[in-house]
Order: sequence, then structure tokens, then C-alpha cells
Amino acid sequence: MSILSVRALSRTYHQGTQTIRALDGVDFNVDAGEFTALMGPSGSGKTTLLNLIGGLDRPTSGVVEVEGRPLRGLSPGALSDLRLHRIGFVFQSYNLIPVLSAYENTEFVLALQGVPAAERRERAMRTLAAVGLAGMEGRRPSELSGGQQQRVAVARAIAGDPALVLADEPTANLDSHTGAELIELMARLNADQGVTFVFSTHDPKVQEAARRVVRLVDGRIDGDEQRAP
Amino acid sequence: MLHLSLALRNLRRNLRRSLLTAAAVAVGLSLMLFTVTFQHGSYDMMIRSAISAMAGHVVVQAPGWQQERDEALLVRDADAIQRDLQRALPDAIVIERVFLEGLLTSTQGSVGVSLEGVDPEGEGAVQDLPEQLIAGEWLDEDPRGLLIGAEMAETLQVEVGDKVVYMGQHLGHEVSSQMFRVRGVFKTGAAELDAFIAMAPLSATQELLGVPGAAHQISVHLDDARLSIHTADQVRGLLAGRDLEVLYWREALPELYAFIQLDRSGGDLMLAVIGLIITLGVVNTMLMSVLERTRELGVLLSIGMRRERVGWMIVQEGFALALIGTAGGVLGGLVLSWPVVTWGLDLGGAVGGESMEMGGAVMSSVLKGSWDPTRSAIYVLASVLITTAASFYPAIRAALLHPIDALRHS
Repeated sequence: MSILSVRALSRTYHQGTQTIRALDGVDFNVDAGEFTALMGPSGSGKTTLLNLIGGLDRPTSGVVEVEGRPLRGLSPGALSDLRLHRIGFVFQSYNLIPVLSAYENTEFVLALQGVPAAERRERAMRTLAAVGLAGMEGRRPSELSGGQQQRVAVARAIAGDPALVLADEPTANLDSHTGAELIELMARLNADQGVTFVFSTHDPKVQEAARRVVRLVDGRIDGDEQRAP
Repeated sequence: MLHLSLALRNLRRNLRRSLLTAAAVAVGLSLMLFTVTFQHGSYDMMIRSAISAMAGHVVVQAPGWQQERDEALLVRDADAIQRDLQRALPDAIVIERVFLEGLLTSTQGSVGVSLEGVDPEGEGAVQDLPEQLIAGEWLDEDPRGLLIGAEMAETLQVEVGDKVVYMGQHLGHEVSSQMFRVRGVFKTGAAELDAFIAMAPLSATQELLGVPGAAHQISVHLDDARLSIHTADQVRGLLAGRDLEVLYWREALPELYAFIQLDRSGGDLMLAVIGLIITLGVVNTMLMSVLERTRELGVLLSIGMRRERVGWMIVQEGFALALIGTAGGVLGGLVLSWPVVTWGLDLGGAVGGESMEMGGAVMSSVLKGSWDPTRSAIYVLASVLITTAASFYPAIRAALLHPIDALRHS
């Protein structure tokens, strides 16, 4: 079943008198349970595409549907609710709340969702264990390594049980070993828990773990390759 | 709870800045509470002093006396009215007063005098003057006893026991004169009073007027000033049908009331300026805090926190700051005000005496504060509300952040 549908998606920016076409008529679908990498050099439109899919930005033209629901026309509040309940985000530079512990960062999304305290606790602990951070729940981001912080970010993204997790260059700030471990973790969560990931990267090593690679060049899809698991 | 907990942690993030801002709120509120307490006490003293010496909580006068002070405007049957009112108001002190203008002469000189005829016992109970005698004694029933101010005594070069002669022309009669013997000398500290006021028993001044039983003013003194309006209504009822004017103290002492209102407004304006400065400080702190966390706020918006919740979180930070600052302010206000309420503030050095004149009232130079729970509560509430409100603009700024721009912020 397709949980993400992108059709004829374009996004242009105006910089002075210049018009920059960041995305130019992109079409693609993502089915539930996919583990998809968006590949492409810097400026190819990966981040723009992820922002449009996540409802953080509005397209110039085209359609984005998440679970069959078009994002166009949704109010800012409805977009927030969609992100809160159906889309998880992992950012390049972790972006955890520094005053909250690993457990609290993970629990935060559940609290926003209005999950009761007891269930919150159980789910946050279980999610942290799933990303290999059991025993580190009480640590603040400043007390964690980069790789550990990004694991907390993944835990935060999946704790709310989203339909789709969008990760923008999740390994870019990590060394190659830690980056590989993180991708391995994401792949395991995809395989074991059926979490659907769409992540951007320009690291060829990272793309090897993906079962589908969508190549972007100059805002257009230049290739869409399915791989055997 | 989630927001409040996060708000408190965000305040702890830059603890020194948060404490300094809370301290600014606390210092401002402390000063406000001190001012309110000090003003309340000094106004109380002023009103009490003016009421006892210059009017009463309620006064009965002939129509027009209040404006013209014409000695012909008499309450003809004042003795009888005084007795009736005293019977009807057993808890009050009801006294008569006569006010005459004339000349007081001694063997060494003469001086213009404002001679007040008073009921020695009743007046002694309501006036501070018995405590301000520097020589001699308070009046008794001796109709020839006279109290004069220290400066007048100096001008006339008289002492207690010396003879003086009062001369005046009243109600169109021939010039009348009366010999008095100085019974006491008072010093209020107000030059005007000490140089021109003299006091004699009521009967002597009624005799000089040539109208027995009459007075210019009948004044009612109460234990509780808040009963003034009610008592004035009661007196109006008792005197219904008579051509007399019944005023309560604010009407009888309009200049004093205007002075207090003006002074209070000036104080309020000053406090408003302090409040504005503090508010701007809080706005600045909160704006800086929002600016520093732009990226983080972008993350919150990105993971699905609604704009209004982001704004609400900032308002809660402002509220927490308001509570901490206000708690400190209440404590500081109590610490600052308590000595002034207990011992008073001695302005003797500044005014050069033990008493001083303010708003036409003469009172002790030791000004005592008194608690004003209503106004204090208003300032405490205003401190919480205004400090919280100071976070509205930063909260709106935070809520209106565009997630992508915020995430790019470094």
C-alpha cells in the first residue's frame, strides 16, 4: 500500500531577480515498509523534497499525499498534527532538546500526542531499548556521543508510531563507523518493526543499505532503483 | 505540566540571566510595596491630623461657611445641636468651634490672631496639640485661659501666666476686647500655626461674638474614618429641615483630599515608570531566550508541536519568571516596609523639627507606614500579570517562526 504519493512536485525559490528551481516535477510513491534512500549531490533537491513531504514547506505546484491525504489545503495546525501523529523526523545535526534527558526527549512526542503517563513511560523505555540506549535514559544530550544522540533522535522519531520517518542526512555528522551503525539500526527497525524510512544521503556507503534508491539531479528524478534485501 | 517543566528547565538554562531578571522584578515590586505602605501610613497620619485639627470626620456648618468663612455664618443653636448629636452618636466625639479674627496685644507688642474657641475637654481628646505644649497646660473651664503658639509668644514676649488682651470687631458690633492669661504655649512645627493661632474656651469666644450658644462649626470625630459617609447621612437625617450644611471630611477638606490624590497619582506614575522599565527588561530577556533557541523551537514545530503550544510554552516561562520575581518582591517589600510600619521613618533631620506640614496638615516628622492590603494585592497581582504579559511578544515571535527558517538558524 502506498503511504506516500508525490506527483508533479515543483518548488521554486526567488533570490533577487533569479528563480531557482529546487524541484522540477518530481513523481514517486513510497509503500509501507520501504527503506528508501534519496541520493544526489548537494543542491539536488533532497532536503527540499523531504521538507515538502513533511509539510514543513509548501510546493509551488504538484501534490503530496500522506496515507492518501493531500497536504495542500491543510491548515498549519492540521499539518502540525499530521507531523506529530504520522511523520517522524531525524535531522542531520540531531536537534535534541538540550534540557531534556534521552528518555524525556523520546517521551516528549508521546506527551504531545496526549498518551497517558504510564503508557508513555513504557513506550519510551521500549523504544530507547530498541535503539540500543537501555541504561542511558537519564543522560542529557551533552552527556551522549554524536552517534548516541542520533539514536535518541531516531527513538524520538519512531516513538509516536508514525507511518513514515523522514531522515535528512542522518549520518552526515557522524564518522563512517558510527554512521554505518546508525543505518544498520534504521534498517533493523525497518525489518523488525516495519518502520517506513525515507532518508537522504550522498554517502555511497550508506546507500548500500537501502532497498530502494531514488536519485535526484537538479531537482529531477534521475533514477529509481529497487534492490534485493 | 509538560510545558511548565520545560519552561522551568529553560529558565535554568541561563540561570544567571533568569535570576537577574527575576531580581529586577523583585526589586521593583519591593519598592512598589514599600511606597504603597509608606504612602498609606503618611496619608493616614495626614488625614487624622487634618481631621482632628481642621475639621472632623463630619462637620455641620451654616450654608456658605465652607467657601466664605464669613464669621456671620453661624450655627445659631450649636450648643443644642451638639448635645443632640452627642446623644445620637454616643461612640463619637461631638465638639463645637468658633473662629474669630482679631488682634492680640501684650505689654511688649501686638499681633494679628486667629482665635479658635474650643470645647477644652472634647478638643483635647481629638487634637494632637496637648502633646505639642512646650510650656504650661491644656485649656480647662477657666474662660480666661489662652493657648498660643511659640512664635506668637516670642513676638508678644509673653510666657505662661502673662496677660494678653484680645480685640476684635464682630458681627458689626462695637470693638470688643477680652483679657486672657497665657495658660500654655504650643509648638506644632508649622510656622503659620505657631505664629497666628490662639485657642480659648468656647464660652469666651461666644461671649466675644455676642451670640451665646452659637458656633461656626460642629464637628463629629469617629474612631473609624470609613464610617464618615454613613455618619454624615445619619447627621443629615437628624438635622433634616434645618438650614445647615453637613459635609464629610473629603468635602470639608477638599484641598487635603486633592493633595493626597495628586501625591498618590505622582507616586503611581513613578511606579508605572519603574514597572515599564522592568517590563522592557523582561521582554528583552525573553526575546534573547527565544532568539538563542530559534533552531530548537524550529525542531519543536517540525516534530508536530502546534504553534500555539510553542507560544504557550514561552508564556509559561514568563509566568514562572513572574512568580519567582514576585515572590522575591513580596519578601523584599515586607523586609523594607516592616521597620517603617513598626518604628516609622524620622524625617526630623530633613524638616528641622519634630513636626512638619504636608497638604495643610501638621503632623509628626516621624512618618509611620501602614499596611494597605488592597493596593498591595493589586501591585502583587499586577507584577505577575505584567511580567507574564511581557512574554507575549516573544511568545508570538516564537509561535510565528517558520520551521525551515528556524532549523537553518545558527
